[in-house]
Order: sequence, then C-alpha cells, then structure tokens
Amino acid sequence: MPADLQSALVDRLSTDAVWCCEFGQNRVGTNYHSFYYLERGFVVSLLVMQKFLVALSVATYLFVVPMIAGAADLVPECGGAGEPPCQACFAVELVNNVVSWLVMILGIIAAILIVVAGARLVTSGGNSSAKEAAKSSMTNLIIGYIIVLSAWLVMDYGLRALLVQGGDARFGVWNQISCVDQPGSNTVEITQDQVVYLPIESGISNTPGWTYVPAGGSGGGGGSQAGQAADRGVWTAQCTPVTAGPAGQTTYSCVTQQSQCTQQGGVPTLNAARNMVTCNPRQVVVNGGTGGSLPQCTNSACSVAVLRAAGLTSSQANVMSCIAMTESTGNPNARARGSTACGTFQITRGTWNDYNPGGSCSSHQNSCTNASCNIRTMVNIVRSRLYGAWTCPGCNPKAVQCIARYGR
Amino acid sequence: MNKKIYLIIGIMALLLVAIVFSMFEQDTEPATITDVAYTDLSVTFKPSQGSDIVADNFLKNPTVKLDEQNPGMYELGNTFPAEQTSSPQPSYVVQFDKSTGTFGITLLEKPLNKSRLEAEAYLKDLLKIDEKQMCTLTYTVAVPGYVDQNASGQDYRFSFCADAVQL
Repeated sequence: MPADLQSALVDRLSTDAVWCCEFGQNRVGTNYHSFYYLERGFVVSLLVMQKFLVALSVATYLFVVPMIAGAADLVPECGGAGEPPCQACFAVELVNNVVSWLVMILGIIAAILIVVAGARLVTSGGNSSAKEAAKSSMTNLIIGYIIVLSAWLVMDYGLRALLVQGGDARFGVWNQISCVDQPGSNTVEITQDQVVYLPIESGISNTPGWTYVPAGGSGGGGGSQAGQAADRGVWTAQCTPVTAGPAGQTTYSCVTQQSQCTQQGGVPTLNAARNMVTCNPRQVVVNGGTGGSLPQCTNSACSVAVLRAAGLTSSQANVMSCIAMTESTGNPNARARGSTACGTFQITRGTWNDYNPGGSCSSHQNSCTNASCNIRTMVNIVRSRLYGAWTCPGCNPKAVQCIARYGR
Repeated sequence: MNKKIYLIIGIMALLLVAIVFSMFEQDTEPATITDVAYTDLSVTFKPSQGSDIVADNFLKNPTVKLDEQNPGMYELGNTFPAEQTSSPQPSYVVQFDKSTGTFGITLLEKPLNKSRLEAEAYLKDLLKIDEKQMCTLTYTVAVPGYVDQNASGQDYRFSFCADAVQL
C-alpha cells in the first residue's frame, strides 16, 4: 500500500467522527454508526491485507529470488576462454536446464497456491460454495504437481523400456546431460565409402630436386612438408637432362624421379611439356562399414597417452594406437608366423635395422618385443616415413582405415 | 471427487512401479573398473558402481609369467612361440597390464569363436569370478592382422557379454 494512502487512512481513523459525518452527509438518511463500523472494518482489513502482502513479498524475495538468481546458470558455458567449444549438445543442455528450473519454480508456485487455497478454506466460514471451491483448488494443485513430478519418472521408465539392450540399459539418468568434448576434428566414423589420401612419405623432402607445392599452389614455390597431409599438396621435380645425339640435343629422363616418388608411397604423373614429374598422394577408397570398430590400444605398450609421451603428435598417436591394435592387438610379444614382423607395431627386421634407436634396442631379435624399443623404432619410422611402412600396398588395409578415422 | 481420488491413486501406483523399475535397472547399468588393488591372496577390481570384484591373485598362479622385457605386464597361460621355432602356436594368449588393470586377449587360431571360448574358460577358471563380473573387467578380445586381416581392428568382447560381437 502506498505510504500516502496508509497515512490518509490512519488520519481518518483517528478523526473518525469528522470522517463519519462527512461520509454520512453524502448518503442522506443512512445510519451513520453502521457506516462508521463498516468503514472502520474495511480499513482494518486493508491494513491486515497490507501486512499479508508485505509478508508475501518477503517470502517471495526469500524463496523466489534465489531461484531466479539460479537461472543465471541456465546457459551452459561454452565457446569462451578456457571453455569447451560450443556444440549442439549444449543447446539440449540449455533446454534441460530451463525445464529443471521451471520445475523448481513450479514447486514454489504450487506451495504458495496451496497456502492461498488453505487460507481460503479457513476463511470460507459457513459459505459452502467457497469451501468447496477452496478444496477443489487444493486438490487440483496437488494432482497437477504430482503429474509434474511423476513426468520425470514416466519419461525415465519409458526410455529404459525402449532403449534397453540385451537386458542392460545403456544410459544413466535420462535428464543428466553431460556434454563431452567432441572426439576431435581428426576423428570421423567411416559409414560410407571414403577416399583417403595417403600422405607421401616424408623421405621425399630429403631427396634432392623435389619441391613441395601446397594444394592450389602455383608450383615451384616450395612449402612445408608438415602441411602436405592436411591440404593434399604434391611434390614436383624436374626430370634429369640428358644430352645425346650428334647435335647435342638435350632430352629429359624422368625415370629416376618417377621411381623416387613411388618409393615414397606417391603416385607419379609426368608433365611432358614441362619435363617435370609430379608426385601425388596415393588415393585409397575405404569401404564404409567394413573397418570394424577400430578400437585404440589402452595398455601401456601403445595407448594414445604413451605414444604422445614418446614424441608423436596427437593425430599420429591416435592413428598409431589404432594401427597397433590391428597389427598385434596391442600385445608387445606378438610375433607373426613366417615373417620377421614382431612386437606391438609388427616391425620387420629390415625396417628395424633402418630405424631402431640403437643402444639396447639395436637388435631386432632381442628387443623387438620390448614395448619401449618397439615404440621408439616406430616413432623414428613415423617421423621419417609417416605411415608408409603400414600403408604400403599389400601391407595392412586396416591401417588406411585407422588413418581415415583418426588421422585428420 | 471420486475420479480425482482414482487419478491420485493411479499416479501413485505408476510412480511406485517406476521407482521399483528404476532401482532394478540401476543394478544392470554397465560399470567400468576404476581401480585395482592387489594383496597376496586376491586382486580386487573396483568398478565405478556396484560391489567390488574380488578375484584370486592370479599373478601368483604358476601359469602366469611376468613379462621380463616389459615390466608390469604379465603373460597369462599361453605365450607366443619364440622366433623361428617349430613349437605350435597357441589358439590364444592373454596379457595383463598391471599398471592399467587391463586384459588383452589375442586370438591366434581359427575358428576364432572356438579360440575365444577357450580363452574365456581359461580366464574364468583363473580369476574365479562369474560371467557377469568378467563383463565388468577392462579388456579387449581382438585378432592381429597377421592371423586374419579382415577380422582385425575389432574388439569382439567376451561371448557371454551384452556387447559381444559374433565371430
């Protein structure tokens, strides 16, 4: 109630005679005393209502404001500094937060309305229709609130009944949405046929005469070997000039460059007009759905964390952890029959001799089943040839699928 | 008024059924091993939910060998034959990584389903735990590429577990 109105009412109560008479004079022939008590009762009830409203306001402030303040946490934190990148899951989380918040607010509203209905019931006196109306309000409120609360369990029951697999429910509490980091841009599910470009082995960068041309580049400008896997760039080399004939004509031989390209896992194409060889990444079609689940190794011989610690990049560690599973199931003692391939990454003796880190790991026979030696040799191979030792034609078709899935 | 009472009773009954069902289902949700504790007599796998899995201390079993080249790893039962020996290749090998508490079952002989059954029987007997508990362990059942290129790159799981892949 506004302060000025309250003040005016109190003034009138204190000078009720004047007020009475003034009021009474406006109604000719009415009983002044009846008006006096009627008006006084009205004013008293207004003052009581004022106290009730104040109490209600305080209660609302105490109970509702914290809930509204809680609404500040409704929007999931994402996209900012130190926060996970935003994804569709956060929109679902937002909706879930809003629903949970509304249920909380509904609880408070229901409690207030039940109190109001109770007050109406108490003050209904002998008025049976008012009493029935208050009872009906209360019953409806309780039913409504039970429906709101039971909706959660009904939903839970329904989802469990629908999504149960082999007797096991494969999810937790249905409304607990936990957004996790995306597996990473380097991870894709192979559900359709997919063309994978196997990077040219990095040994080509050490071969004289070769220049890297990023995809879309004009050629001859050099470039970064590290970038080739990402942008499917090519390498180019000038063919070897050969002077022949009595007139000393200069011709070009491209055999060496073509051979070098093939050795590094590339596919050579000849540009006769410019006497150049272009070494292109090999294309492999990965058949969708034929790669199995392609699990990664989880033990200490080849888990992603172990391979990262050994010096591989995140992408390389993911790929090689997958390749380890396809090669040896991650068992460092695995030995292929009829081959010298051995250990976690099934490295053959010849390759071992070329890339082993030396020292106690120099002997293939004695150390290829040593997980640490196998990892260190593998790291040397990857640094030199990327995945070429596993993706070579006829070597390990699943290795290509590991690259397709984890290597982007 | 009677209709409202029936409605309340109906909702209450539904709630009761849902609560009982939810409690029942809670027990069947998959758990993962979060920790492994070792004593002289037992190995305790502590799942993320539910009761601990207490197995015999299989690391003390005479058929279990410490992998001397790879500290913390154990070869359970069968081992890979040494290089260029004529000794027969086992149908499976089981490796245990103590640091991560993971079992790696490698199937080496076709038919692979038979090899998997043999590995399961061996492991069940070694650990002295039931099938439900075995499904809770952290493990892989896989085939190396040199045994079957097409079958590699897949975790087949134990045949009696809900997530088993047919071989």
